[in-house]
Amino acid sequence: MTTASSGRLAAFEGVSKSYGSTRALDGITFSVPEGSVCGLLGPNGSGKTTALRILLGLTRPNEGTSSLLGDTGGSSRRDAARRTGALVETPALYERTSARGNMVIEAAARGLGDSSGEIQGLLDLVGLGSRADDRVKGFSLGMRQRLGLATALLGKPKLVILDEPTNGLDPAGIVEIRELIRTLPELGTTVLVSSHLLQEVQAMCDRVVILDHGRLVAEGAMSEILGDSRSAARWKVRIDPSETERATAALVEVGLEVVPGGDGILLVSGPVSDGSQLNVLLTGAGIYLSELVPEFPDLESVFLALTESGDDRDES
Amino acid sequence: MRAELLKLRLLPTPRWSAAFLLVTLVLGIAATWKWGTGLEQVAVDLALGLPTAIVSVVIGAWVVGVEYGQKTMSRLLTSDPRRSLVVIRKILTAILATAVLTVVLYALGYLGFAVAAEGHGSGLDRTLYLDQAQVALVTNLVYALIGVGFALVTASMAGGLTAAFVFIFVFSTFFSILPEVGDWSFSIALSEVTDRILGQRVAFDPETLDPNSRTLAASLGILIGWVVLIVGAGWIRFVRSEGR
Repeated sequence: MTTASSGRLAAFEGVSKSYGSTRALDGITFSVPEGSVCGLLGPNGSGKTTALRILLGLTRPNEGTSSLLGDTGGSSRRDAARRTGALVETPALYERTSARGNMVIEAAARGLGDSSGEIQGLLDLVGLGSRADDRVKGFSLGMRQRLGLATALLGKPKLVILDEPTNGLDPAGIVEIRELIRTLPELGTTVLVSSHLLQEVQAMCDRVVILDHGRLVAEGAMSEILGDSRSAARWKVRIDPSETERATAALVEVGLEVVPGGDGILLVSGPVSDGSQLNVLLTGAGIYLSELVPEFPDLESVFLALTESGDDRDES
Repeated sequence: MRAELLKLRLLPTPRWSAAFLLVTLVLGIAATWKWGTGLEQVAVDLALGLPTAIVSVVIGAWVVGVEYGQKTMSRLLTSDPRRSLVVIRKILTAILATAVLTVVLYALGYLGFAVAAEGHGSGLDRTLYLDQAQVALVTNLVYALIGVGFALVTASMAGGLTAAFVFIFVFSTFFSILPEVGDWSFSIALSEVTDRILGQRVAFDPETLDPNSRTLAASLGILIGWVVLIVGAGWIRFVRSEGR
């Protein structure tokens, strides 16, 4: 088996999948490097869940190949599956047995042997230690998510695939789970996480893959994805309100776009790499700045720009 | 396989089924103590034969259907994507659970019925009891496989149960009364096999059997054909499905 040798724990090579006339995935190629927390983003119907299901062997692609821990479907796929934790769609749990019972069953299904110590540790880790012997039937959605996450982490997997892991969690729970996910690479577990919560992804992921209408529209380190769009950064400039017209003219003259914000505020966009350029430009015109604030795009604005949000979409 | 056995132990349906069977066994023994075992030990069939047959269908459909009912099929296939092995494990679990349930209950019942029947006529016909147990074992294993097959075909617990019961008690009976083709029905083949078990031992003189009737091998062949058809259809559907 090749895993760390290639440095890619999950990979797609030209993967396409259609359901009837609907193209769910259209030739996507990307990989998840070992030791990363990789966010998989996309609007509803963009193909995120289909991609995760193909990776886990639940759905077959029409074209292309996917590999999990270096295996593309051969005899060692079982070993790859055993070393991969997954929480796909809603947490799949046996409702009429306890949290511990669910984990015991999962441990046996993955051939992990006696895992009683690890099970208690994981239940404690996700905050369910005191509810370990309660029936899952009485659990809230957030508790089910926590249990699903604990189940996915059984056996110290090399890779864990999480589909919307913070669904149903309260704000404190979201922060807690986010912090937990961020620490997983230090424990030797690489993470591929899909989420609609862009701020969460920005906060916990170091890589990001963005899908739209089944196509890959961006892939790379979070800093690259955000950095690539910094030429489109906007600057908020505050000056004396009486200088607004003169300042606007000076900025427009060098090719910048200016939107008046009222009360001496100008919103400036264009090819400005450094705030000092604006400072020099306006000071040269005898206009002094009282405030200069860069407004770099966050993941949400990048995501919306790349995915043309607002289109009609179907669930994948 | 260990995970499947854990589900039998940790989830409530098998436990409730076992409890239901213990109750019918106790009722049957109580009835025998009061009135005897009845003609051809019908009390044994009513207390053990029919209930274990019903529970065998339930167990067979449940072993597969629980994954659809609890929406855990994706999780199961994530743990092991080799779908044919998943089906084989399900089949083996259904066979094992049904066999153990049938053998244990008939073993428990043997002592209970023997003691309860002592005050009535010649008591329990032990040879006939063992034949009844063998008939139940064969019937129950076949019924469990039918349950597995229909749960796979319908990808549903309720659908599997309904389809299995309709097939066994309605469709097959209807098919069996059709002229010419009726002899090829599931129920005729199964009754021929079970009659042979009873006929060769006690209930009938083998010499009185219709010399033109099919051989046991032919009846078994038809029975196995039906089981293979239903389980095979479910197996193919499962392997080709999206595994939701």
